[in-house]
Amino acid sequence: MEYVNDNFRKAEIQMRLTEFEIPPMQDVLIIGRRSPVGPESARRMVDVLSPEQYEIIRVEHALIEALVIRKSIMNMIQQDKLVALIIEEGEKIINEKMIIKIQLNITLEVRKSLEL
Amino acid sequence: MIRTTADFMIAPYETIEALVGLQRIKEVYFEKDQECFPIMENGGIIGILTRQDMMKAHPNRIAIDAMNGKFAYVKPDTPLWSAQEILKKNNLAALLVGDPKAVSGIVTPDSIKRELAKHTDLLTGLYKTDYLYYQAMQFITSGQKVAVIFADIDNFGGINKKYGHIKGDIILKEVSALLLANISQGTSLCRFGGDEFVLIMPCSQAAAIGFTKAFEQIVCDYTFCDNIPITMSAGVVANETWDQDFSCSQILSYLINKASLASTLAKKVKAVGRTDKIEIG
Repeated sequence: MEYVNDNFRKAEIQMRLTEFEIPPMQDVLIIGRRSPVGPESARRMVDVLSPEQYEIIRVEHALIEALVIRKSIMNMIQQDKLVALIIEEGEKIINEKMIIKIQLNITLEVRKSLEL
Repeated sequence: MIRTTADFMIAPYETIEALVGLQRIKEVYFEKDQECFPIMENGGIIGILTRQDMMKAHPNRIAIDAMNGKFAYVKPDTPLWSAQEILKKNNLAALLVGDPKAVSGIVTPDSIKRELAKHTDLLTGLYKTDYLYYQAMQFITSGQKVAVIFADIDNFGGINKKYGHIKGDIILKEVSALLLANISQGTSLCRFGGDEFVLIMPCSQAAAIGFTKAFEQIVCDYTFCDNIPITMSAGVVANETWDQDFSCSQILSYLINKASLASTLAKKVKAVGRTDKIEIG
C-alpha cells in the first residue's frame, strides 16, 4: 500500500499594534505587600521612564505597602486626603499580592461671583 | 574574660546588591548558609535582608523591596551581653561590627543565641561566670557599689553519694529556681561550678548580708526533693571604692575569691556545732 502523508503544520499569526504607553502606568499604582513588584522597583522604573514625575508614599496598612502617585495630582489635592481616598477605595478590591493601577480624572469646578 | 562581638561575629560575610532578585539571593543563602544579608547600594549598607524577609516576599522582588531588617553599628569590643541588649531593645535584624566605612563582620540574633548557649549552664539554665564579669563591669564603670555572695550547698558530695546524682541534680535545679525567684532586679546570678552559686548585687555589704539571711529562711521553709535536708553556706564581700589601677576583671576575681574563702570559713564554723541553714562567712 502506498503511504500518503496528508499531515501538515501551519501557523497563523495575528498582530495587534498599539502605541507603548510611557510610563506603562497611569496616575496611581497601589502596591500590595506581597506583590511581585515592590515600591522601590516601581519607583526606579518610573524614574527611568518619566523622571521626577511620580512619588512613592509608603503606608501602614495590612494589605497595601505603598502608593506610587503622579506628583501633578498632588498639586491639585492635598496628599493626605488623596491617600485616604485611594486607600478607602483600593482596599475594597486589592489583596496583598496585587498591584492595582488607577486612572484619576480630576475636574475642579470653580464658581465665583463679582460685585458689580 | 568577657566575650565581645569581635570574638563571635560572622566574618567574612556575604553582601547583596540592592537590585539583585530574590531567586538569586536564595541560591546564595543555601550556598553560604548565612541567615541574613547586608544590602548594598552605592558602596554602603542600606538595610538587612533576613531569612523571614526571603520567605515572606514575592520571589520576583529585588533585595531592596524585600528587606525589612534594621541594623546598628557597634564597636568590635562590645560585650556579648551588650550586643544582645542592643538587638533586643531596638528590634534589630543585625549588628554591623565597625563603622559605615569599614564593617569587619556581622552579628545576628542566631549568632548571639549560639554564643549565649556557650555561657548558659544546661542543668540550671543560669548563666556561667562570663555574665558576672560583664555585670560587674557595668556596676563598677557606672560608679555603683558591688557586693558578691558566694553560696554553696553543704556536703553536696555526700548528698550525691547518699541519694544519687539524679537527686543531686534536682536539688541544684531547686536551689537555682529559689535563688532566681528571690533575687531583686539588678542582681546577677550564675552557677559558678558544681554546687556553687555566685550573686553580684549593686549594694552595700550590709544589704547583701540582709538578702543572704532572708534566703536562709527561704531555704529553711522549702521542702526539697524527697525531703532531703539542705543547708547552704555563703560568703559575702563588698567593695565600695575601687583602686583605679585594677581592671574590673581583677576586682571581680578578687571579690569572688574572697567570698569563696569566707564561704569555706562559714562551713568550718558550722562543722563545729553551728546549725544555721545558711552560715554567713
